[in-house]
Amino acid sequence: MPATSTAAFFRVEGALVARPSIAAAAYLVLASRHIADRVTRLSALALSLPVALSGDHTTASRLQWMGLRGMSEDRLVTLGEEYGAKYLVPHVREAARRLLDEARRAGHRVILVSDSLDVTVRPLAAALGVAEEDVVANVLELGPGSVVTGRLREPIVGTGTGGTWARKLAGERGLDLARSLAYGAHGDDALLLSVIGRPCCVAPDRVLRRVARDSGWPVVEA
Amino acid sequence: MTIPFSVRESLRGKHVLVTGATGFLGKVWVALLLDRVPDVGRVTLLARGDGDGSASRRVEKFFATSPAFRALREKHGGAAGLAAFLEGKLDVVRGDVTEPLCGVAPAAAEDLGRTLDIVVHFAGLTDFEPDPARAIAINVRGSAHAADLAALARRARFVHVSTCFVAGNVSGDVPEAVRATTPTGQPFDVEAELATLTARVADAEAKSQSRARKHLARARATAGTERARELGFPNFYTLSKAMGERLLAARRDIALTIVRPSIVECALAYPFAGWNEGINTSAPLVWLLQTAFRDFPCRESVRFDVVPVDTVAKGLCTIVAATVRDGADGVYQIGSSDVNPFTLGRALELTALGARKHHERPEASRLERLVIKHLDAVAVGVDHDGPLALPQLKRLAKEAKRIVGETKLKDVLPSAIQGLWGEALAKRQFELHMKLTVADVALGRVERMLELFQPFVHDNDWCFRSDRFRALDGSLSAEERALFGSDVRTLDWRRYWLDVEWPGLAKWCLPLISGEHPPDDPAPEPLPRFARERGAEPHATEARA
Repeated sequence: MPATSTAAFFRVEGALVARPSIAAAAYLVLASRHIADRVTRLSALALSLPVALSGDHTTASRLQWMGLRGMSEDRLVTLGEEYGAKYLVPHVREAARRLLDEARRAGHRVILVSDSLDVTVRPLAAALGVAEEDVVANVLELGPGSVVTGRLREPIVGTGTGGTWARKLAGERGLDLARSLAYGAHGDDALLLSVIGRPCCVAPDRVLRRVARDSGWPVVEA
Repeated sequence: MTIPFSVRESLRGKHVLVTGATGFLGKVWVALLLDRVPDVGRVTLLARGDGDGSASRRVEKFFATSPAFRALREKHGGAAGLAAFLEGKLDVVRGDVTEPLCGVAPAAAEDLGRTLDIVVHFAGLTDFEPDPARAIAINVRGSAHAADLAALARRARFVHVSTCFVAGNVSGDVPEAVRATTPTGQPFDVEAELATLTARVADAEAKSQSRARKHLARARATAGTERARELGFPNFYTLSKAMGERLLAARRDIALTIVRPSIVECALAYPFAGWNEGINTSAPLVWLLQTAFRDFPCRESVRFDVVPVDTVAKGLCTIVAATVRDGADGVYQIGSSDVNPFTLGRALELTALGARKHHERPEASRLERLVIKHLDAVAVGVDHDGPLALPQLKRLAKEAKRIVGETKLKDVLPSAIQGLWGEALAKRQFELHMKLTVADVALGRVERMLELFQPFVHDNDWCFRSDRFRALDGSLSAEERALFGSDVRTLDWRRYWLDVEWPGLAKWCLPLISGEHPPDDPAPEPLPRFARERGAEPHATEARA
């Protein structure tokens, strides 16, 4: 598809809202149907933390959501949407909202990128007026009886989501990355920001702030 | 080539008599009929009178104030506009289905019959454990009386609204047909069964240890339930409806169509999303599951056949129209279990998720917000005896009540404390004892309720076939499908249960269980008069309370 349009990629965790995706995982795990499951699943979730710190973000993402195995689709969707409505929608950074409006006015297609689940990001997308197909987030696989298997559907959107993924998406949707915008907040977002023509850091962490300084990327404080 | 079937054309100019129009389904059906078939010739409602005996006043009141008619009132610019629309189109016959010819004088009935095209019989007693005599008078003899009225009509067509659960205690496919036998396979002779029941009830009364009215009523109801179970029915309500069907099916003087809805629940869209009335099947279960009650005895795989009231009402319009043009007869089941099954496990989980939302409302207590909200009801076996199971809770409440009741504070408290706080502590002890007594009674009621619901949530897994109904529904033109289409295949149960059913029950039904009244639409002052009343001659039955 020829690249005719441009996009503004917003990283949900960090750039749009401060909460990391593990908060969503914890919320869902703690709302498991059986009390015993809440305890065991929370332990499984805790395992993902050292893995994430070691830098293996894909495995960390897998572990993070594995604890939801056995949860019904009804519960996942209902509580995921509840989390999004309660903890994402009211907490969008003012600066990010302004950037999003500016990007839209400039004619960019707004794309939300999240390593959380699609069900949690959906209310946020709806509140920001972002089309459902422009939400790039993780999706949990469902097994027989519409029960969560605990596995994420490929491709996994992790904090290390970067160049290859963005180029593939651009190819599929006819996006010109050189003229597009991208907003990130964490060191890991540097991979994504580096392949987009006009990157910007929103309330960056220490690592991304250093990369921004070295690369001459603009920084917006939230 | 199939000619598209038109509900509106079929009912244009027709005269319809409706019994039970003041009930939940009856109201919605009448409102929908008048809304979507405005050219219907005449609608006659058979209704009992209110306190002063006027049936028309009673009907006018619910047309003016019932939320079921809100959409119709809005369409006509308020109650006055609706009254103008109904003038000459709607009349009321004072009567009672428990009387011969429904209490309508023979001459008036003959007069009615000259123009009548169809009788739609909704009137029924839906209590699960009623007084057998009353249920027989309404659901069995009452149906026959309504059919007698239809038999006087120029075209003796009769649509009888029954229930899918006449199938009794069976599992698997339930066809759209009237059974010749009881669910246990015995011959089903209604008159013989009525005689047996009368004898059983009299015997139960005679054996009752107390002559108090309450105890005699309990003995009669229990005798009825026991007999229903012997014959393979979940309760006396379903037995009485099955007897009504059998009695009607044997008649040759009417063209009979039987419509069996399954569990009729909150409206999907008409008169508006969530509308419900009274305490129906799901309300007590939902009420129970939003309390601290956790272990719910049921089988998660059992199909819970629920259908929104407006889906049933639309289907009924189609069936009535088809019956009028002699294009329908026999049995039509309106359910969901065969094409879009909703399991009890799913209902239970969605109810718990709905309760979670309910406990976040501002007026919820701290206990609800901080504790109950986070405890999900879960399915357990009927013999489950875990720490939160009902038998354990009952034992606990009884034991606690006994200990609190028997403890003498002056024997256990040191005299110094007794002197200082003895009076206050005694007051607290009394209050606690009262609370435990209330809890004990409430748990007894819950136990009784679970026993009544067990056939529906554990014992049977019904799959009500609705092939005949779906074929009829499928014959509607595209334009009419938008008005009367009743396809449940696309119903999203999650959205329905959380966004329609739960809020609907919370607003319209749960207050009744808590002894409160759900809101009515404000009445315009004065109420407009529009319903001509017929059959008020001295021999017509006086209204019952």
